[in-house]
Amino acid sequence: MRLIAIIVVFLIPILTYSQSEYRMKGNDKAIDVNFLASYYQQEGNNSAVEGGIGTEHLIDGASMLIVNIPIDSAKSLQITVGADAYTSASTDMIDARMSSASVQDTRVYGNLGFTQKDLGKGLTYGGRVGFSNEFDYTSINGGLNFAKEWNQGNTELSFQAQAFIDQWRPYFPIELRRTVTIPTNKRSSYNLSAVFSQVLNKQMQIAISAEAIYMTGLLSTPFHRVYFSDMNTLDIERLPQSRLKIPLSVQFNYFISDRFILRSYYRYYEDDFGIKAHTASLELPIKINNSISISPFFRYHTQEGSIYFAPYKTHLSTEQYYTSDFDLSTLKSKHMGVAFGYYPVYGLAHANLLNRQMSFKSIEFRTAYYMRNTGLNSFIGSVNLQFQF
Amino acid sequence: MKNIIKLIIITPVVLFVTSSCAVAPYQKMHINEKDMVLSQKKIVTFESNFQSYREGASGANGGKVGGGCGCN
Repeated sequence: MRLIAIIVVFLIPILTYSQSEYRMKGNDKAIDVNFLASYYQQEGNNSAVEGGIGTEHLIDGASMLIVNIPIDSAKSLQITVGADAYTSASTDMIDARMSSASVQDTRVYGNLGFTQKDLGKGLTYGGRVGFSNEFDYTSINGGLNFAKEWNQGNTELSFQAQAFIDQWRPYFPIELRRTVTIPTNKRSSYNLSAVFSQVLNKQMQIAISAEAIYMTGLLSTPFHRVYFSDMNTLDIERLPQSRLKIPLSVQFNYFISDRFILRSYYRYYEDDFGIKAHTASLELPIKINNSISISPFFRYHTQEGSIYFAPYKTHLSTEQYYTSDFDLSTLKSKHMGVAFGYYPVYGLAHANLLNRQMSFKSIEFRTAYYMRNTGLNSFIGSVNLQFQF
Repeated sequence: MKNIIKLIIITPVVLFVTSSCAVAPYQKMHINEKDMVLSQKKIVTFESNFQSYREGASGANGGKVGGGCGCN
């Protein structure tokens, strides 16, 4: 209670600080368009569809278009649309009578956001709505955000709240399809996040983030199998109908010199499924010249698994909740790669489009390799093309 | 866990109070470099998505935290 009182005392002057001399930067006039695409491939032998054994081979191709449209210096619209197409050998095993061709599916999604700034008071607020749809899952979401900056823009506190109202169209394993029941086919998620960022000096800045995520409804995956050690039978994955997640993170960026920047990140995570995790990453952008940069990066993740997890044929049929999904197990992972960016001052190309000058501003490539100590490995390659109108 | 929460709450307060340098806008040429942004870069979106699918932990990085997909 004493600690809360101290924090409130410090926050009141921060939040009411009047910035009569400093004016927040308004929106740029140009429309920003980012086209992103990625290719992802993974291999493993602990498929949750087959109870913790079997191939995890999966290929995913994703694309996304992000458009930021400034209406004036204070208002802007954000539009995001995307699609993922994947083939999965393990999803094919939901119905073992099907041919050996891997199941294919496409997820499509879109978001529309609006942002309003009060340049004199250093306030930013806005809202967004969105949707997502795939063969067995539909989601509708909405969110609000609020930010206040002060101290000549050196300090910012922001809040975001989101809600996802989702629905499964459950697709059960073929041998259980006539007998299995589930308590609900709905899922809801509510997120609240706060980020505090501070410029420490001319070369360093830091951000501290805290989130709380509450999920309720059908939190298990209906086509994941679980085999029991005490009976020659199986069931679908069963998990509690509520879950509270608390991630906390710190990001620290340091402009070392004209050639080197250090980006560092640490996250602690805990939830009431029993998962505790630590994640740390380092990235070192190296400026080759004014237009080209290369960034090697490394990420390490370690987690203590869920109390509901056990491998293939380890669970007892008398347990209330059980999963053999290795994503929820005790694991360690390493993720490393390199990014390449080309940002020429005057852009890569120019053209006239719809009576507006279009500029191809920059291009970024990023490749990474991921290794998990459970035997899952993956490769991902991404590209980002930035345009301005 | 409680100590970590206290540290994360107290740290920004201490940083703000002890920050002796209010950097003027014309002095922020290094802070405004594109690789100095504190938020997640757009090109990292797909990587952070698959990390949230393949690991039990997610969030506090501007990426997926739960909801919107049939994933953990």
